[in-house]
Amino acid sequence: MKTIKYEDFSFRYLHQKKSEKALDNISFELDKGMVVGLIGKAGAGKSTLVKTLNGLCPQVDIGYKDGSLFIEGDKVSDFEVNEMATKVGIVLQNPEVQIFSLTVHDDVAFGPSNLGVPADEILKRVERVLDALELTEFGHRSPNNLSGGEQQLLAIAGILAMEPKVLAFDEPISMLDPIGKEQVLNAMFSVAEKGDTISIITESGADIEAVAEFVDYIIVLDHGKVVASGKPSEVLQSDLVEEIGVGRPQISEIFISLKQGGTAVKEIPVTLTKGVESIKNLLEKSKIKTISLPKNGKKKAKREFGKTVIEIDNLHHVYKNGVHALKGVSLKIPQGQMVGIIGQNGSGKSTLAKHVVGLLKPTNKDAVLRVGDIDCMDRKTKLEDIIKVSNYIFQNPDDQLFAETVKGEIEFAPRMLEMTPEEMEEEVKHAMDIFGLWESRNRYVYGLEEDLKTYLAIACVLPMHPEILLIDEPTTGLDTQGERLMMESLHRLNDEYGKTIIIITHNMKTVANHCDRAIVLSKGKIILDGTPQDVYSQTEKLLEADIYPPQVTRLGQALREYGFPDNVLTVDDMVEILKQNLKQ
Amino acid sequence: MDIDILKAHDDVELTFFHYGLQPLTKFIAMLSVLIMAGIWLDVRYLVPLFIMGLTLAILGKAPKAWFVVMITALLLTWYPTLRTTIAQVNPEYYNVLDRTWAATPIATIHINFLNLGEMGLTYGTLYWLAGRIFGYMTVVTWAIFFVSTTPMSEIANSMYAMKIPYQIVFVLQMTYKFIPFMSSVINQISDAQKLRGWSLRTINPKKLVERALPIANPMIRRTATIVEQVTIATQIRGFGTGNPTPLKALSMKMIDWVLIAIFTIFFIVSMVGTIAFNWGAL
Repeated sequence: MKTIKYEDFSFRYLHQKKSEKALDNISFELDKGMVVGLIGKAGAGKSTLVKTLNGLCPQVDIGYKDGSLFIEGDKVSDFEVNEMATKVGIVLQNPEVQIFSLTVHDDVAFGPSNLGVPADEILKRVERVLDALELTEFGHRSPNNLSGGEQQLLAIAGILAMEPKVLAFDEPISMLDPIGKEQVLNAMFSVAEKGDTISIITESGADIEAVAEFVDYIIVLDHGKVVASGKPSEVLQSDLVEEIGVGRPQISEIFISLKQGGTAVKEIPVTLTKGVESIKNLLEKSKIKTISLPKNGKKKAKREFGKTVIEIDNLHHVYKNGVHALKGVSLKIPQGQMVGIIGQNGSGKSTLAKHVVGLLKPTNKDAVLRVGDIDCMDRKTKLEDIIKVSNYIFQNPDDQLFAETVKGEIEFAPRMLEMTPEEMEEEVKHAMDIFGLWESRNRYVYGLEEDLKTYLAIACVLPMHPEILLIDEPTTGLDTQGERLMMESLHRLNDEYGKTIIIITHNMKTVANHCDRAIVLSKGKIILDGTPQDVYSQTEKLLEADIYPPQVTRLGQALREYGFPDNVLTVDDMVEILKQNLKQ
Repeated sequence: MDIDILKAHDDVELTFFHYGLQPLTKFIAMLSVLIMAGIWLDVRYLVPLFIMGLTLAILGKAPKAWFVVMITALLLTWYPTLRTTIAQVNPEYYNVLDRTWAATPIATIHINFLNLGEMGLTYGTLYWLAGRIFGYMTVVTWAIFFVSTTPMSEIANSMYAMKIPYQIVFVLQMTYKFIPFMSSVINQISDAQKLRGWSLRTINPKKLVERALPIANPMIRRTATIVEQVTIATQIRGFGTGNPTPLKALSMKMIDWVLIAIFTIFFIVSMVGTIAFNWGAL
């Protein structure tokens, strides 16, 4: 008996037309012990599929269902959602809404207690699970005091204590720093290793490298249909994953390029370890002990920047609850630079950004904080003045969007600035043009796709003509294709309109591929500041900030003994090095 | 301030009052004092209760900021307090105090309008005012002591142990947990709108309503989303499947029983004294 069996399963939400389906005629079977990656771009149906496992769709997220789903032989539609909790555990993206109790210990006990598990057995399970996820020392702490990664681990612990047969994780790592991602994935893997559960993880593309390291089976969803499935090495080398916008791990990209260039490649690796091994084999076959580096390689043209537009010196910020969030931060950013700020959850990135737009003031009087020509330390400086020079787009566009239509939303700032109708019309059109929103101008804001919502959030501040734009996680929730388009739009603002762009992100590839400069914050201090090449080559220092460089950089670092540089940033650069040497 | 309250239990050095006493004991002590502080008007009765509450709050390492809030709130209510105080001039209001002494004027005037009569400050009104101030401070210091030394998790545990229906305890727990979360969401929304030039500053009522929309709309949607996600998450965790396994027992120590007995006797004796012998009255 298979643990999961979908038979011609279809589902459509109440708001969808008959011709549209969130899940379209799904049929597959999965056996216990498998670690399954459910990949597809945003809106492909991954979350809906996960929610069908315990009947959340259609019982809570109401809609129309066809076909059958069996978990361990039981037809899911015959049970209530909470009854299915004994068999299916789901970990959602946001840990904050999954933690109910006031201590870590109590929260892990919450699930089994609801299921009526005997008290002594609950205590044993709690101890076992906390130990397995290395959370024992936090047992009596308040969950509020855990980091993002630890909170997600706690959410997983709460599910594990219920001992379900199917564990499904709905994009559980997208909001975490690289080490947090690894912690969570390790926990998942250690559970799956025991062999009596199925673990399913959904992924849109940004963390495909991390996920590919752990899964042993992949199902690809597109427009609600299963379009491919199989071993990661088979599925991830197909062009299909690229076509549907998910993208492949960088390591696979390198080998596919080599194969297309005529290098004899037996298998496309999907993990870093396999990739390192395969390259070593190729080098040994070619009897290469030390590689030569391309002399006239494609070097990024050095860009010229303008005058300093942000000047910060010795900035401290202590919150009212005593948390010292920024500890003497100093930096200068010139006009036109594209900067990536990275660091672990809680490192002070957002606090720093809020100072640059005037939402927060330094708590020490001797700090220097200048934005454009404005001295933010001057008591007379008003927020209204700063936001016309420097503006900030929060991570969640839903925090700022409120109007009915796209056009109405963009008109808000010009109206607040009391522009004339003609000026307003011109500004709104200009902002829409930059992000290609003109065609969607009359669309209902809440019905927009995630990428359009982020575009709209940025477009909304453009009528104020800020020369500096800070954007928090612009690519979160986007698939690889969406991420590429978003970054192209930001480049346009940077190149054509001379805006200084500062992005705050957990996506190391975005910084490597798009930024002129990377600033690493750890525990309120800048620990690294330089070009992405310089920053990513300092692995030990990066670990202080719970950061791993992108997979391609780590590949070069793992092959240092052969003379590979430790600061390769892009797949193209690595392919160029390999092609040159493997030809010889 | 909500966030500070939550953090208080995690950041301060824990004292005997945090872990040595059951919340039930502290609650009974606080309740008996609060009822008496609400009934008594005589400052001589209230001052010992206030000193006891203040001492316990200090020993319990209550955050200093809470006392600042207490004093600020007291000062902010000066106008209604003064208004009520100057209306206590009539010596017939005083049954225990010497009426001649109570009527000794400091600054009084006679108001014919609406037959309001004598108003102002006398020894009696000042004595009444002192009682009112100490009554307020007694209530607040005892409340500070209870809240600052009793984490919500302990209160919830006691409620579970006292067999209060788990649905009620769960709702209380969730409310407590999500208040700071929702307050951070509201701050975030307001910050996001401020960055678009939004401000609530206007005296035009129509504009005021219009300007509330950029906060109200996202907030309603975020709240709805959070409620939906929490509902889903509770279902995933099997909430409502049946009666959950009770994990908490009320482990009362000797000190708890002794204190409960003392405060119960204090309450009964005080009530009898108040009713039969006018204790605490003016």
